[in-house]
Amino acid sequence: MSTATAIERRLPSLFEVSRRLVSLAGLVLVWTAISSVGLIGGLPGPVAALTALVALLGNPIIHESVSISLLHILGSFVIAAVIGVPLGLLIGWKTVVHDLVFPSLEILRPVPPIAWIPLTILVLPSMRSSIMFITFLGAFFPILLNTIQGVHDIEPDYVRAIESLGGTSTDVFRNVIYPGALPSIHTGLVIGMGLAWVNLVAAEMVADEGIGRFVWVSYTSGNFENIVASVILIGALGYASSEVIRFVGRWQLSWTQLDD
Amino acid sequence: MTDNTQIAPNETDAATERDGSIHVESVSKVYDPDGEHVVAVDDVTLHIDAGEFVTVLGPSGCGKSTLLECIAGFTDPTSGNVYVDGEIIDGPSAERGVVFQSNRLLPWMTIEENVDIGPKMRGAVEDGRASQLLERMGLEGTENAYPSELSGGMQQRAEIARLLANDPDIMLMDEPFSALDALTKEMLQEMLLEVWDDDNRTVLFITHDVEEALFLADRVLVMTAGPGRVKEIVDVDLERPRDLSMTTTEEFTALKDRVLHLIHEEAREAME
Repeated sequence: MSTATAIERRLPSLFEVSRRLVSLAGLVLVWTAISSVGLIGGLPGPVAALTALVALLGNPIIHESVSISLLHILGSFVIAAVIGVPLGLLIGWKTVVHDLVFPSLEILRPVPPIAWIPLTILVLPSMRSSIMFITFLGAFFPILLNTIQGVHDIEPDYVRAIESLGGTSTDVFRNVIYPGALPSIHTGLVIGMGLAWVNLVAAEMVADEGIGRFVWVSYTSGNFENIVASVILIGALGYASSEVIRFVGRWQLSWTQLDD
Repeated sequence: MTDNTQIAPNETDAATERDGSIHVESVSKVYDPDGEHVVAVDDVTLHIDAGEFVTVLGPSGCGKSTLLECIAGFTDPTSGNVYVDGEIIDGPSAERGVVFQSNRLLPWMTIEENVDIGPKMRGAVEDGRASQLLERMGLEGTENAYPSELSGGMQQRAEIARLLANDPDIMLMDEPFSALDALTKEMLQEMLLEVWDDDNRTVLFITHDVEEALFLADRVLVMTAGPGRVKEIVDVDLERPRDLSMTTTEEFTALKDRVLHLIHEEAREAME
C-alpha cells in the first residue's frame, strides 16, 4: 500500500499542471506587454527571443560553452556535496567537531562569492580552478548548513532507542543520524545547486569561459536577442539540474511522503 | 545440599531462568539549567526482583521519567548508583529495553526493519522472527508499512515487538499508553500482562493513571511531587492472571482508595 500511494502523490494532477502553465503564461504575457510597449528600450519580445534561442541551440559555440559550464557545475557540486554532507553530519552530531570547525566556516560564509574572484585568480593555478572554487562555494554552504540543521532536528529519543537496543556509536550514525538528516540534506542539495549556477555564471563572466562568457560576449557585441536567449537557457539548465536532484531525493525519501 | 539438587530441575523452566534484578541505591538527580537547582529525583532507594512488575505512580513533573532515564542509562545520577544484577550500570544496554511515551519507531524504516534493528545490530537477524513477534502483538501484515501509516496503538505494539526481538531481561516503559484512547489502552494493558506472564521479564512501568498502576503491578511505587521521592510502596496482592473485570472488585477498589488517599495527601502537603 505504501509505494502505490507514494507514487500517486508524486504525480501532479491535470489541474495542478494547468495551474503551473498559467504561471508561465503570465510571465510570457507580462514580457510581451513590456517589450511591445517599449517600456524597456530594446528588450526583445518572446517571439524574437525564442527565435534567437532556437538558432542558438544549433550553434556549435553554445554547445561548447554549455558543456564547459555543465562540467564546471558537475565538478564543483560533487566536491561540495562530498565535503559538505559528511562534514555537516559530523558538525551536527559531535559538539567537539562543531566547536573546532564551525566558527571559522561561519566567518567565511558571509563573504559574497564575487569578492573571492580577484583572490582566487591570483592564488589558484588556472581560470578553471577559480571558476570551480567560486561555484563550489555557492553549493557548499547551503549543503553544509542544511545538513547540520538536519542533524540538530533529529528527535533525541531516536538515538536513545538505538542505544537501548544495544547500538554502538556507528549504529547510531548509520540508523539515526544519516537517515534522519536526509530530508534536510536533500533540501541543502537543491538550494546548493541553484546557488552553484548563480556563482558559476558570475565567475565565468569574469574568467571568460563557458555560458557566462557567452552572455558577456553577447553583451559587448550588442546582441540583445542572444543575451535574452542565453539567460533563458541558463534558467532552463539551472531548473533542469535542480529537478535531477529533486528526482533522486524523492526516490530516496519515499518514507517522508507518507506523512501528511 | 540435598535441597539444592531438588530445586535445580525446577530452575530449568524458561520462566525462572532470567536475570534482571534492579537495585536503585540513594539515587538523586539535580538539573542545573541557568544555575537554577532543580531536584528531579531526591534520594530514591528501590529494589526490584528479577521478574517483578513494578509501576511508578506520580503526578507529571514528579521526576518519575528521570528515574527511568537513570535506570535506562540515558543520564547519570548526580549521586547514588543503579545496579542491575549486582553490577553498577554504565550507560544504556540491550539488556534494558525501553518503550517510550510516544512512538519512537524509526520513521525511515518499515515496521519489519524496525523490529529487526536490535538483532541486526548484533548481526543475529533471524528470518521470520519479526513477523512472528508482530503476529504475537496482533500486527500481522504490517511488515512493509511505515510507522506513520499505523495508528497510535499499533505503533506502541510495534515498539513492544521491537523490544521483544532483542529479548532483554528488563523492560522499562515510560507512560507507554498515556497518549492512547481508553479502549486501546485497556487492550494493550491486557496484552502487556500476557507478554509478561509468558516471558517473566522484569518490568518497570511509569504511569500517572492509578487504575493502570494497580491493574498491572506487583508493587506500586507512589512518588511525591517535585522533588521526586518515594512516598510509599504499595503491595498489590491481587490474583494473576488478571483481566479488566477485576478492576470492579472490592479488593481492587479498596487498593485504589488507598492509593488515591496517598496522592491527595501528597497534593495537600505540596500545596501547604
